Amino acid sequence: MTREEELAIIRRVQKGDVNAFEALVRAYEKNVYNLALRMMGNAQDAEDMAQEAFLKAYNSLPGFRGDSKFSVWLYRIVSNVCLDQLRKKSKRPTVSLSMEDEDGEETQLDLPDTAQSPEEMLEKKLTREAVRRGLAQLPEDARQILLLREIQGLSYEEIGETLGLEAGTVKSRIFRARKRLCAFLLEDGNIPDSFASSKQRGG
Amino acid sequence: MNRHAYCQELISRLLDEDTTLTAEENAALQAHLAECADCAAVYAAFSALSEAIGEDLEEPPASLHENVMADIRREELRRRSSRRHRWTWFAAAAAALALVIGFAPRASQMASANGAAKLTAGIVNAAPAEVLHDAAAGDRLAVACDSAEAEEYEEAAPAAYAAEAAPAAPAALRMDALLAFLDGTETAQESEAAASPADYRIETDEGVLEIVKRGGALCYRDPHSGAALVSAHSEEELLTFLREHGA
Repeated sequence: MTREEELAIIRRVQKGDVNAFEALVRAYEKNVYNLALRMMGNAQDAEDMAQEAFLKAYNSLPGFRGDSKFSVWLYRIVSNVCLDQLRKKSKRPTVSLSMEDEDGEETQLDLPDTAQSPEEMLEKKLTREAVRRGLAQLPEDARQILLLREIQGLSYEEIGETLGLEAGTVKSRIFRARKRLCAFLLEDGNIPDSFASSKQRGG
Repeated sequence: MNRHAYCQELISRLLDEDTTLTAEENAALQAHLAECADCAAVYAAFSALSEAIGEDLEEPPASLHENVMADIRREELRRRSSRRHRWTWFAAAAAALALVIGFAPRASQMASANGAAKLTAGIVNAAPAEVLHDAAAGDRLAVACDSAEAEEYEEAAPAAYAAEAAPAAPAALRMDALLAFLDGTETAQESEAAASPADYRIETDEGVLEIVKRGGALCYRDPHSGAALVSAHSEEELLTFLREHGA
């Protein structure tokens, strides 16, 4: 669907054409569902949140003016619906990513030594379950921002727009989310060899 | 700043195809990755992560699509119901009044009490139908209704849905009595109706009209079935309709 086609559909929905909305659902349900799935961590919640998000989008559509991309607008709704639900469920207060990373920029990710070359490392693949587990233990905002980048493929600017952040902040938060996830996976012991540096730890 | 920490951040941006990375920065980073095993490892790690998160996207269950569209259609019905609300009460009130007061019905379907009752139910939309069901002790008017029936009736009696007319002289004395009890409320609410005693009664030749008030709206209680019918907006609307229907 081109942007023009999409806008045409949206205008029809805004005029009351319910069936036109179906085209939008078809176009986006896979991405919406997978975003929700990785945010919530299970299929049932994912389906519920996806459903709620689409309904919310339908009701908010009169206010959509087309200055941002529809996808960006929609993914914001989806991730916020998920975030709200996660916060409701979670007993612990959400700590923002920036607060937890006091060492911030200085800390580098330390990877264990093995004799593997970078090429060998690249060939190894992470197991899906390990990554899902890793995502689940990330704080929700870290999860959200990483998923918007990795699943939805939004640019830094689009993510910034979605979350109300500067592009620079987006970049550093994504970086920290990746670092954190990697660190978890290493500790988790699932990928002991994949990311190791070679023995020649030069300067 | 620690060189490697900075490199790692650049790696993150590189993977994201950050357009703000200049060609020089890009080249410098690539060169560094070729010689620094630690950073190369980080690049590998972040790449693998990216791939793993994004891969194997699942198909959503078919129920998602169905449920979403069902939600949307229900929502649309709710919206239309509140738009149509102003008009549907016409027929409901008219049907009740026609029964009771004996105006010549415009549509032949209004011949019998049951027929009228059914038709009345037929033109009421989703939310008020639930009201009817709750209100009527024996649920005589809780006939399933849908917008198709409503549309049919609309076509049969288009005059009922004319825009508000200027108030005219009351048609008959008994109408005056009836109208005297109307507050001329602005908005109709979805009445939660009426197993409760009537707020007041209007005596007519054919019988007693019971009026119950619900949240600023007025509901006519059909004296034959005991069901509370959808309410009036204003006296003008009532008059217009009754005039059209042979008052």
